[in-house]
Amino acid sequence: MKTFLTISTLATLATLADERQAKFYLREEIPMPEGEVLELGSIAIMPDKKVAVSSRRGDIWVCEGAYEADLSKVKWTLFARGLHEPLGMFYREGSLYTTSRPEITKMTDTDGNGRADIFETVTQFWGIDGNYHEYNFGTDPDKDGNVWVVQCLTGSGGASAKSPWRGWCFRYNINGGKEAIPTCPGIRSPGGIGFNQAGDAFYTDNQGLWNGSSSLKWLKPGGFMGNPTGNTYAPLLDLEEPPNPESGSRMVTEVDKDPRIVPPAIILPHGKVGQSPTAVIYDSTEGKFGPFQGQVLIGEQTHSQVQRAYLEKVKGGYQGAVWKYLEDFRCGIIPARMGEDATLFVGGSNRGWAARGGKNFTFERVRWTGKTPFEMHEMHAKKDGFVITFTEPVDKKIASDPKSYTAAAWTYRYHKGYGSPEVDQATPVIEKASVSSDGKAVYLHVKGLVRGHVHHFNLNDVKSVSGDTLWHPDVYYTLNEIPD
Amino acid sequence: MLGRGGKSNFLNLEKKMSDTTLKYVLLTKFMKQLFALAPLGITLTLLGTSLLSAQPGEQSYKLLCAACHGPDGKGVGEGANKFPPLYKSDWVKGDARRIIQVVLHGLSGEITVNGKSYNLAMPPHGGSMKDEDIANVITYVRSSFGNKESAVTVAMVKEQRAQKDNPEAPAMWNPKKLVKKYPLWGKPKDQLLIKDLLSYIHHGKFKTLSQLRASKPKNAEEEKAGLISLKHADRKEHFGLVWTGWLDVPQNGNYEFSYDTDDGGAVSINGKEIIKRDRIGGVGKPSKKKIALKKGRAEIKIEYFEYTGQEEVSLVWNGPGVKKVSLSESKQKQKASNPVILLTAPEGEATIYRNFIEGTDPRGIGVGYSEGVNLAFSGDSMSLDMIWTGDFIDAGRHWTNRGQGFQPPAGDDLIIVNRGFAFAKLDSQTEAWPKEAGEELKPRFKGYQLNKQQQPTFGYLYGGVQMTDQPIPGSDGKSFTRNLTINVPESAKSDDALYFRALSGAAVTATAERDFTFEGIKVSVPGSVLPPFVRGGNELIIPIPLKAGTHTVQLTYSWN
Repeated sequence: MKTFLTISTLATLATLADERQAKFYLREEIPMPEGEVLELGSIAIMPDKKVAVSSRRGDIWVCEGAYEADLSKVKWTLFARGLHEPLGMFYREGSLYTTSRPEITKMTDTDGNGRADIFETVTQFWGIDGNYHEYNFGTDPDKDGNVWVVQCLTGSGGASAKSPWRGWCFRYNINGGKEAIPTCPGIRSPGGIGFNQAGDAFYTDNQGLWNGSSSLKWLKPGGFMGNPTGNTYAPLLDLEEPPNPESGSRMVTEVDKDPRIVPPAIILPHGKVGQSPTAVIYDSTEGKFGPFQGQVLIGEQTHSQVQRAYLEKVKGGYQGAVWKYLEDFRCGIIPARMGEDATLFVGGSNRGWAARGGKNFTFERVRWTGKTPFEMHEMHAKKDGFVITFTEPVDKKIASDPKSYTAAAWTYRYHKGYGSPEVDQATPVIEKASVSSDGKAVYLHVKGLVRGHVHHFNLNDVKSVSGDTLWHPDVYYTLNEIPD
Repeated sequence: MLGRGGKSNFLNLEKKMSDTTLKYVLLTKFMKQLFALAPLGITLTLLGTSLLSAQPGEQSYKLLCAACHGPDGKGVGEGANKFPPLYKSDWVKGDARRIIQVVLHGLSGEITVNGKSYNLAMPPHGGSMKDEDIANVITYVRSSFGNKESAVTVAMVKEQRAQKDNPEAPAMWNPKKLVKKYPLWGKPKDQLLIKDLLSYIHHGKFKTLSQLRASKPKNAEEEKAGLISLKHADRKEHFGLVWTGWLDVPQNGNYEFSYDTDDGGAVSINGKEIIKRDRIGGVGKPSKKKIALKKGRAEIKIEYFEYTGQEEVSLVWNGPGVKKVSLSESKQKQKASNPVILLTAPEGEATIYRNFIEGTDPRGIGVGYSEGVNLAFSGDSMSLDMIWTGDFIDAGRHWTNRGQGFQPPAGDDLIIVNRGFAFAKLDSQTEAWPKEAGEELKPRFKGYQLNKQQQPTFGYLYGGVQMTDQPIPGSDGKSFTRNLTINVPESAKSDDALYFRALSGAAVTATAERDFTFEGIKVSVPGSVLPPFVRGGNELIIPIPLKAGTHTVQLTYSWN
């Protein structure tokens, strides 16, 4: 009886859009090449409106027509087969580069037949020992030509003597500079890596050993990301011994003991904001993808979503807020890439790790409809609370009532065990909510801020002047530092 | 036409409903047509009036509901066209507000009823039925078909009609949102599985629990399905698994756990060991233990070890609110071996497979040639490690699930040509082949170039010396020719020789100056500046002069 839903006679029952998302963002599946299993691992933007994708099986295909209105006409061309789980790809000066399990590879089609014929190994500096968990995620080159690679541990908590530099981030120069620059130890199990608008590198690290919850982490060169398993390799390059945090402690306590430890910039509370974060990109569309220019977008594999994050720098470190954003993708999201024309491309796979959506792999695009959702826009920490800005003016009467908000705070155990429950719960009290004269910002004066805690606010009751409720009323701010 | 057609079709349908010979599948097809042809509003209006009589709830049901949900409430249709049952339904039982909302606004999207999935729309009836009719029909449904729930009043329907719960009203409900607001009756089965389940894999020849407990885990994983399983074990023998998590006990009461293992294991609840199977042996006699549990969180730890032979694990719990719920993945799913995905090169071409291939290094590169010969080249030690004939490789292991482990070549006549670095400098011709690469000759993989046939030529460096290495399959499907170029730049030239180990690991017999037998194949070295020599009876060495310039070596490998 599904068919009857599509007939026009039902139009009298109003639109069938039962998700608010469709009002703001148009999500479309891009047809895949017939008979191929394209479990997407990365997406690269090429000239002439071509889009390249890599698959976990190791193939690279180039899609033409991915920006067109009629997606049924997309054309796919096989570019390469037989790579080893590529999880990072970009285009540069006529070549595609991938970061895969064994190496960074530069692939070039020199005879112009559409298929790569030269596969140059740029680096294979790191070790692999045959453990399936030793994933490598790589960025585009930074301004110096460095590709940043996060190297997952051996298994979820090991560092095989045969495969050095697991658990580290290194930079590799693709222009023939110094080959490998050790950058950050302390990595566990990344799901993606990328840059924010300022050009700083971030990656997502998944809940597990030393990670109480999954989070977005800032790869501050020289900083320690939290998991000491890979410290064992430091002597190989005569590097100073990375921090050895005390198991069972709290992140802020350990940061105070050893400032080389970089606390997660944004914690993605396990189960509340996804379960397996992946891609890191930012909205570079100058407002063509909605009102969130410059904000970081984070892929999510288990829940098949894309989250939205606002980062700010407080006392030298990054911290900020995360909201849920896009969802209902047909499979767990792994790569994401902002293409031309403010088109967001995402793709994914549920192989080995279950995901929502019902399909085993997917390639989709998202475009903004032009309608602005009523959302929290940014969130700034203050010494006595937070300022939350909105995409539309709020109903001042409701928004200035502290009872229109609920607040909670907690942190996670920082320990060698797998994940952590929410601990040290606190109840911040909103004493006053002051609305700006234009109605687009609320200053929440909060008593009981806790440094190091995730601060959760629910704004279910807040309405816009036009009476809308927030599309996503929950926000989670990781308060590593309280501003002076 | 639509009005009349709608009415008469429907009446015919009702008549046919009593005809037991009518197949349900026809009926659903018929319903599809009915809805496809008739504007829904008109149809429902017709159905909602005049035909009602004496026993309003039952009458309305027969008229409005039975066509899809069946006269017995068990749901009409088959497969994807099956309508959901109302019989003992977790959508009908409990909080009546959920079912009132369904009747008022309809549903569109996939739903789960009593653990089974359905995806057919439920049209809204709020526009076509009065509150009284809705109250009556729901009351009838809630007191029939195995349901024994309280009556629904007109006031309750009125109240729900006034609700603005459904943001898209009058459009149909998104089932996910409705269920979130009014959770289904009872605990859905997935709420009874193990929460925050983690698995820890141990490697070792465990014959007892104490041996397992003395070992350290090699790996920990989150198992989001909430079921224990041997599926993610990375081996078939000599391993242990320990799972931890917690159960959400529905109510205070006695719960029985039934644990079966091949080989042994144990179950602990709230830190107390309740089942111990400290033995080597098969399944068939599960250990059972009943314990009192309090409503709420109960920590569970399951230990398991496998020595050799068959392996299996199953765990079931049973008690108040938990009807024999299995906490382990079904036997079939656990056992399901990877599908065979045999890779073959397109006609006239080669195909490349970079993954973990048994018999070479983790950076091994497999190449299958449509001529029927295959090889594996090590990108770690720059060595042609293996050649074989027939099928190339089965990618099923790596392309299924998490893809762990090494996969052996699929074909026949496998020859291990060499392992370890293929080039070295030796102080004397009797010096043992080095296991480590010295700084001076540090090997470095440079990649490969594909020709039109997709056949690779590998490029690599040993120190400053550049090599290209091109295997060409024989058209007979029983041989390879291998052309190497060794380019010695001025900066790397010396009076020493570089040694190339072409064969190792098994007996090498010279049959002529440049012909050898090795593992049943014939290896010839028709082209090299200096003659090859056998040493120790199991190494074929070809010296290369380190004079500046380009030197070539040609070898052939032929199966008989």
